[in-house]
Amino acid sequence: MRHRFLIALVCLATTACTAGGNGDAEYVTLRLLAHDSFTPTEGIFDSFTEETGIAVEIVRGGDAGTLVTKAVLASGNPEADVLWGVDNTLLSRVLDADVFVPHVSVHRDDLDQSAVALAPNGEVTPVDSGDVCINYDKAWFSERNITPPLTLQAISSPTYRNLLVVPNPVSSSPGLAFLLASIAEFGDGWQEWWMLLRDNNVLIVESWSDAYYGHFTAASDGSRPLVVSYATSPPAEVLFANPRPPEAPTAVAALTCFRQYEFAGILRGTKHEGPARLLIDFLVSPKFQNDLPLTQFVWPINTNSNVPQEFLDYALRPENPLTIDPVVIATRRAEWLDQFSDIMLR
Amino acid sequence: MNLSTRNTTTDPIVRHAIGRWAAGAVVLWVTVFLGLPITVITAGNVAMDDVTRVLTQQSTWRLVWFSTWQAVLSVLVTFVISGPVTWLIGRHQFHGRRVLRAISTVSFLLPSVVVATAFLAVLPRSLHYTVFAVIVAHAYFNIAVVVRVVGARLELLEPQLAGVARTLGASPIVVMRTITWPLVRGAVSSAASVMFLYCFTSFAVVRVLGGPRRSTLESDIALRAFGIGDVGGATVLALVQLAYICVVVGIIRLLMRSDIAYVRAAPPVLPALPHQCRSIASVIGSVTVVFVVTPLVALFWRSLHVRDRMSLEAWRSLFDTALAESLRASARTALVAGVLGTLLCCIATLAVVHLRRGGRAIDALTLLTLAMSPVTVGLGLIVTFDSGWFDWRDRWWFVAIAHTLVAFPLAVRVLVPAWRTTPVGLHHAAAVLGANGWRRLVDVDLRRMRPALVAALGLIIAVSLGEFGAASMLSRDGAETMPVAINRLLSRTGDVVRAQAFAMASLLVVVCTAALIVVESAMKRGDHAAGR
Repeated sequence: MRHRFLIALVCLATTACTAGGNGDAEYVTLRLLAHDSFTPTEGIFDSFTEETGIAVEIVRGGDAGTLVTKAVLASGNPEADVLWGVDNTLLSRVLDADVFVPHVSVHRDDLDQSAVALAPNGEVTPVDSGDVCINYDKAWFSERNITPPLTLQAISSPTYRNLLVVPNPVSSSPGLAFLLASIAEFGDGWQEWWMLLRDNNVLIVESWSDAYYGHFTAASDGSRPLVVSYATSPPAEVLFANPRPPEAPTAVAALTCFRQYEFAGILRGTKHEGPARLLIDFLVSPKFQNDLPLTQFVWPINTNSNVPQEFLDYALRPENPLTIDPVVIATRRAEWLDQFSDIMLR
Repeated sequence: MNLSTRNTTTDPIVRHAIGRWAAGAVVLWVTVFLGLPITVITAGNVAMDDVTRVLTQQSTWRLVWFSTWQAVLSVLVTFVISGPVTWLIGRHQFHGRRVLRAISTVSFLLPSVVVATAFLAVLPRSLHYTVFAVIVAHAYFNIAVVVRVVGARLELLEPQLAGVARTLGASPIVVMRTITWPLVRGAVSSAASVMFLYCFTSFAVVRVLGGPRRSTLESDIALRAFGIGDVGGATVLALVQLAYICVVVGIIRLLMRSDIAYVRAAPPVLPALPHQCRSIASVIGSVTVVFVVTPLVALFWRSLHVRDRMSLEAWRSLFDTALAESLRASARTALVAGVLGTLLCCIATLAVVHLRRGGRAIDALTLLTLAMSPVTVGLGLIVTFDSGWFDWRDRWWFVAIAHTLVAFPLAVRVLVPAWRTTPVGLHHAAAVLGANGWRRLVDVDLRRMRPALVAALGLIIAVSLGEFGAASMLSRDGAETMPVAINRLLSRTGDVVRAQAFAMASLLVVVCTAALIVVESAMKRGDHAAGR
């Protein structure tokens, strides 16, 4: 009796395991692991599949931080073949953990060179860029005849008391970008500036969506007309609205922007390294890059791509955004977050 | 009436053998899918340095302290809020009793991200990011635990018992102290342990409603692992949490141990609600319903609004796009988890009822699955089952396996009491008629257990439908379950997308409620079959 039970258990276990295996002998299917905000037009990979015989399956794996942590843990034995969505604030974590196979894209010379320079060995390839800035509710300020703040310095003035909501830098990637913006702007004085913000009653919330859709006057019934969001949020306000307003209800304080670049890379240990290289090339080709502005509200990294006019009409591209070298971010990020938490959260 | 119902299978040798096999199977399952992943992630990522760093950090102990007091307070508040309705449901028969019971259970099964968001919509702004909001939301979740666990025990109390005591001159307080309380104490401690676990390890509610200034150990584990990338530190925190919970639950069980297994042989016939209690009962009922339903209505209301306008756009676009895929993913995950989980819980139940000391250990083991940080287990599963034929990371049923662990403690708590109430007489009769141990198991026990089995199945399905932590951690072929999809939609730009998230959440409420109604009607059929 005992043995039969055991044998049955083993049989059950083995059938359960073998039933799961499925062969894709004829076509290669690449798994593209991406964060939750990766939302390209449906069918965008069809032409790629036709040309190369390589199918692409998108797997979404949470926010960028989750994605990177999982990729680092699985380094060398990845869950997918290609990863989309590491940004420059997280870049060092994946480079240190040797997560990617270097690849020099055929489009490399057409890409924004300041982004390419961030991963000079080609471990990852830049795919898009965007800016994190203070957004303000135009109507709120004009109704009260108050000038919106144009610089980070201005925000700490008593005029803007109780007006700003910020996503937590520890848990949110735009929040971290904003913290880095303050560090880029004020250097060692960043902590004093945050103390002023604290006295100015800045509100810190868990995520970007909490801040924007929970407290920002232009997007919720909240009471905060200043929010940390993206430079491309105003066009999103117009293009997602139905009917479309003639102009965006929100605007961006251009001098408060921190530039974010996103990268994609071939996960080391993939069984389909050759096809994965073709996919990276496709991701930075004008065909795919043209799709980015209106589906994901980011700027293409390929300088040959066409940005749709309606996007250009509403989106702001800051001339000299704030930035910090990823290597410096790598060495000091944990320390900064800790100091930030001490000042603002504890 | 009989006083001991532990001996359900008469032959002690067979009983012991079944119990041992069952215990072995449960231990194996928990070891492979919980113990192993934790060991692997600890071995691979934790250095001695991490241990000393985390243990000497002041913030660690602040987290422990906050997690503890908010959990204790949440448990107490839950008892206060759910006490009246539990008494009403557990002690009285009235029209709409099952509906009330189903409604007070729905909240428990909703993804916490959704509930937290709904609470933000309902609570006045001044209460956002306060401990008050966190505790009310915890109470909201846990009403179901009290109603189900304590209510079920109240149902089994013999009404005459209190009546006799009263006739003999005992005051209501004395009846409460000497009769009712000793009999329900075990259920209260069981409910308190489960609730303490849920509140102590609370994650989404604390993060969304508590704001960034308040963190439990569990939410800090996620921040460390994903925000900072400190997997080693996160794992140490997870182990601290596990150890702490073991100690606390051990103490609760010691203090509240109840060996009284006084239950009725026949299913209870609850007395109808006395006339003079009608009005107070309807107040209790309606307050509970309003409390439970308001956040759900807020969800639905929001799904109908894009910005300030009334619009069906979210619903329309939802049906065009992701919905079908998510529904399918959720359905198949829930079904597999349900079937597999029920099977496992049956095995665990056999172990609990057939072994004396071992039974208690298995019972405690099923609770432990709640004490382990889902984030850590999720990461552990990813690094453990990652190569060769056991590379299961992209298998959709891997999520279902994780869900069996999540549902374990709940479903076992449905099955064990049901099993224990099987009258010994039936076994004797079957034995006299020549049925051997296995036959008695199939013909007597399983038949008697059918309603409880259906209830456990429904419960696991509902838990699986609403579970977020593990599902979000394990990527799978294309499709994502509904809570994961909701969370993704909530974090994206665009009013329509946001309304879509609320629409999907409303739909999830409907699906979970449907699962519960199936459970309730199964119980009802069971009661009829039992001649109720």
